[in-house]
Amino acid sequence: MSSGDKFNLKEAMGIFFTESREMLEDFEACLLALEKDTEDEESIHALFRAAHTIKGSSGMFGFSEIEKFTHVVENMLDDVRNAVLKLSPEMINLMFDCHDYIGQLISLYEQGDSVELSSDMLDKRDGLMGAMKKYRPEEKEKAAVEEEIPEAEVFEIQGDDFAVASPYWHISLRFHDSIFKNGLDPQSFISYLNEVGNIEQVVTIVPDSVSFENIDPELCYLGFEIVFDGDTTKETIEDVFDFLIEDCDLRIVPPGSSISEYVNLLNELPEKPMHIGEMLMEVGSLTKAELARAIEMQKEYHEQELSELEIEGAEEKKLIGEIMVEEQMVQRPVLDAALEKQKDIKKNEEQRKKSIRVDAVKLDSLINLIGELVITGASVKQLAEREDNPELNEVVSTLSRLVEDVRDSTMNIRMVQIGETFKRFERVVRDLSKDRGKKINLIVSGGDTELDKTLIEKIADPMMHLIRNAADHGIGTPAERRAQGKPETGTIHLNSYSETGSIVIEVVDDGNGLSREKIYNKAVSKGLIDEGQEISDDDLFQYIFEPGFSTAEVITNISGRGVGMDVVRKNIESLRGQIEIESEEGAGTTIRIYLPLTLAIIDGFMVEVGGTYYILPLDMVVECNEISEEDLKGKEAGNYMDLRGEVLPFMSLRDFFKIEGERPKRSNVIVTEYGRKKAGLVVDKPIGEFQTVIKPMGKIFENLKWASGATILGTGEVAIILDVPMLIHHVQGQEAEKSHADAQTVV
Amino acid sequence: MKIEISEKRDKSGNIKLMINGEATIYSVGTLKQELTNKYKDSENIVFDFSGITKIDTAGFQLFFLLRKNADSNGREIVYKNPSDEVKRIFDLYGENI
Repeated sequence: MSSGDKFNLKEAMGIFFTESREMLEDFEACLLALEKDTEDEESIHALFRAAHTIKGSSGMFGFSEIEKFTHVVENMLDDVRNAVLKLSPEMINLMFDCHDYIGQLISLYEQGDSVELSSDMLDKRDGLMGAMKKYRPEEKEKAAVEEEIPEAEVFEIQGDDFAVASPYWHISLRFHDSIFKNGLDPQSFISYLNEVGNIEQVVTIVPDSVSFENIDPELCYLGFEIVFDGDTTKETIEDVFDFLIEDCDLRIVPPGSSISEYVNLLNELPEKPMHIGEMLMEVGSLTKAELARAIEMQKEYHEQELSELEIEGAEEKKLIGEIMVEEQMVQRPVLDAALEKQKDIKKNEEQRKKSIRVDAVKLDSLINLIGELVITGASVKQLAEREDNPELNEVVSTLSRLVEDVRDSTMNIRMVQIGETFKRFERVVRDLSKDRGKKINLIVSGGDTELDKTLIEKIADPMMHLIRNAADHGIGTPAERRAQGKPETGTIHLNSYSETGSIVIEVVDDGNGLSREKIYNKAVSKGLIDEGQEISDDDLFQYIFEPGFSTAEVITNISGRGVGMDVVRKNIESLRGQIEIESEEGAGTTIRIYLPLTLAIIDGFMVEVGGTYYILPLDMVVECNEISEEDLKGKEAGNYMDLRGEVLPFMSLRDFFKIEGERPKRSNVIVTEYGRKKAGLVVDKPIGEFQTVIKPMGKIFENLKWASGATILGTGEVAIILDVPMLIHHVQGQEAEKSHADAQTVV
Repeated sequence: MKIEISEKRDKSGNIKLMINGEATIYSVGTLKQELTNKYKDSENIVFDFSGITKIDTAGFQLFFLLRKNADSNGREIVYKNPSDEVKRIFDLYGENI
């Protein structure tokens, strides 16, 4: 930002919306945590902070609806964190509703300049405000609490405490000894009092130990007791001595004060109480009787304080002793747990503090640049290899390594942990279970598996649908489950891990599972399979993804219409992924999503077929072998070869691409693997490792399922990047068709 | 900032001191020294304050303490003819001249 830039309101507003949404996410997460443990102090405070922050920042932008509403929420949460209100399940539900409402408000403001609440919104708002009002303690009670406090601070004496007779102020001044040296003279200040009122009496006081002989005349040993008549306030009198305040001790006893005020004075002043007492009497602030009483009280108080201190001290020792002896053993694990939690919290905080916001567009252009860098680097490497210059080779080798590191680091920036997405589903599961009258527990594992940011965003919707399915149709009501001998609370388990070249996401439920029979019948009725046709579970279940295919008897507002699963599959396929279903009737269902780890910049393995270059993702390449002409011809049962005892289906890319021309004498088979499935791809010549950037191919090539992109070689030629998973799938599918044997082995 | 003490002794041996000038933080050091060195703490003194042109709390403190302790020492210290300045500060601090 140059110094000439004006404050960009639009930019700031954008930040507000982003941050407020984050605050709302935190808010929701805290509510979920509090549902499990209402005593969770951390979450209570975090709740308050989130509401407080949203209120404040929305106020800054004049988003008054948000500000006003959140203010009420904040007040309620303030009462909770101050233990005036105790958190109940009803309150938590209310807070969930408030959370949703605030989210809607934020969206409204984000869309338009002027915000008008629809009648629905108004109803909602009034309903929520009304509900929150019920939790507000009575105004009277609050005022009473406030009043009590000052009284409690005043020292209470048993017995009669009465107001003194004197109608005047009593001002007591003691000075620090260097006041003269600091250039101050009390004279002017005290005489100024006469402007504010009328000084009735003054008495000068010095400590007994001070005498003319032993003093340093330049230091101040004086003090004054002043009786002052003025229709004024304590503050005004204090203001008179404002300049002196650093160098003196000022005590003011207002007119009509109780005896205890004077007792305090007696206690506080350095001189002996009797001594001061006499002064007070001399000056008229106390009558003889009042003084007598005051001295008495002062003595009592003093004794009481002493004995209390003694008791406290003894008790304290005993208590500590007891604790040390008795609870030492018990405290240890509690202490450790608390420390662990602290460490975790600290780690999280540190992690949070260490991150910065980056504009996604900037990141993309950086990645583009790195891509170009990779291509150029590869060219340099190729050219260098041609020169027989060891020095050059060494440097180029270092260069390549550095480029690789930069590439990896940059790609890493876009990686986000899937756990964040998983967390979002907690609320969904909670709401679903409530709506459907079911008890469902969401378990999450493998949250630290990282995916590219765009992948994560695109996978969220399909996952949502799958989870809804599981909650709706998969898991039954507590009664149903009990009848089945299952625990009342059903479980949905989200899991994620990485495998060769891919990321796997699983949605597992312990519900009713898929009914093979129903699906079979539906498929027959839809003409997808013939009556009596033999078909494996895996293949049969894939029909679920056909549009309009639903065996649900009751269509709910969420799922059952049969529009969901085909969209899910489409989404996953658009990410070049695959989806698999495993299910056991009565036990549950597992949905497994495979997503390829193809990044924009890949480590590739280059091959040549019929003069054209192709690139395979290196981490899907397992090995490369020569294949004889005989093997190439294939077997009766199809194109299989013996890979050290393993049956490997293969396909000749020459045939696949229908490349004409003479086949080379020797061919090579590249053994590729994806998602536990292997296939061999026969090529003319393997070239070697090659790092490159995937460039998208343009709309014309959209239907080219076996190519995931293209790249430009250093020579200027185009090489096509093969979609290995697709090819494997194709190879396996083809071979399965050719033979009736079950070529698919899914673990 | 000069202060001057001029002394007069009468036939009975009574000491009269005329203080002229300013009795302030700047002169109290000198003043105290003079008074301590020249006169025993048993001697009675009568001060004439008509010549004091300026006095501050430091000056007041000195004279206040001098007189206060005198009583306990069996010494008589008397202040006479206060200038307006002196009168004002003594009044303010509730002390009689």
